[in-house]
Amino acid sequence: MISCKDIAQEAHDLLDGEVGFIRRVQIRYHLLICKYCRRYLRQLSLTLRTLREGEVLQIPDEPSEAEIDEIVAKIKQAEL
Amino acid sequence: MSEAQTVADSISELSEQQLIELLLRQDEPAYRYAVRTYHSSMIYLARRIVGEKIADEVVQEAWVSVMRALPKFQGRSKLKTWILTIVSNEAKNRLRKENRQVSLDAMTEDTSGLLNRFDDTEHWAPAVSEWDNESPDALLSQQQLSSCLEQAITELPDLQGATLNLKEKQGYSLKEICNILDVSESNVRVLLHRARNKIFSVIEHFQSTGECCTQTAPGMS
Repeated sequence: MISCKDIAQEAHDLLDGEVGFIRRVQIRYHLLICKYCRRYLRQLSLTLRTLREGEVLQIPDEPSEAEIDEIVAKIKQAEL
Repeated sequence: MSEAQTVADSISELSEQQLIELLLRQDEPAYRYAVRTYHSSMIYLARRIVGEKIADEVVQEAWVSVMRALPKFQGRSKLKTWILTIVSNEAKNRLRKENRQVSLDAMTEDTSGLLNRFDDTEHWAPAVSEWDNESPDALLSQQQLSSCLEQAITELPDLQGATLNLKEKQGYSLKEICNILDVSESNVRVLLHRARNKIFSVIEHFQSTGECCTQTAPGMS
């Protein structure tokens, strides 16, 4: 019998498509009878979409031409 | 259009293998293109591992290592993945030289509290509360929440933050992240799940209280 705690522990693998068929069926059965786990999965899925589609995860801007000059000079100075 | 831009555009149309061949010939426009294309991701990763202060220096050293090792690159991964692996190694070597270590125990700590909110029968206690918003746009239209999430991401343990960014922002697979960070696949999973849980709990707290629960108020760090 799957518990809510099991769902919380396996939710990420489930959303990443990394749970096998039989386990998926067991999880689906639990979700049919547990509105809190349905809510948790729905809102975890929204969290992941927010991270992927929103601008909250960032990487720095492209380097400036001056920074590129500096790095390329460093590469050329090194004995390759 | 400047000559430099024209050259950059023509290089961007080359395949990865053709770019590598130009880099091996020490072609300067190819160097410039590679730096422009890959440097930001390299800086981000280095900052997460060694911190802001010396990340630039680590990445400059990594660029030299990349060019030195390029003749041995066998194309088993994408060029960018291989470059990030070198950055990660350089950064960890730097930590070792300075007697600082990346502690995986600290990095895999669950700071969300999500895995401890169950009663003796393993039911939710308290239950997950219902959120008001149903889409990323609706969530992020609240400026305060958006700033709060950025702050929460900054405060994630470093390898959790790096893993979250590599997976959700840059689209790397778990296996690629294992190679880049040189940690096992099970540890990458733990890092990723902990980071996502933390972001979930920050959104949940904000939805319930209208307040940010990060260590530092957004904009104060």
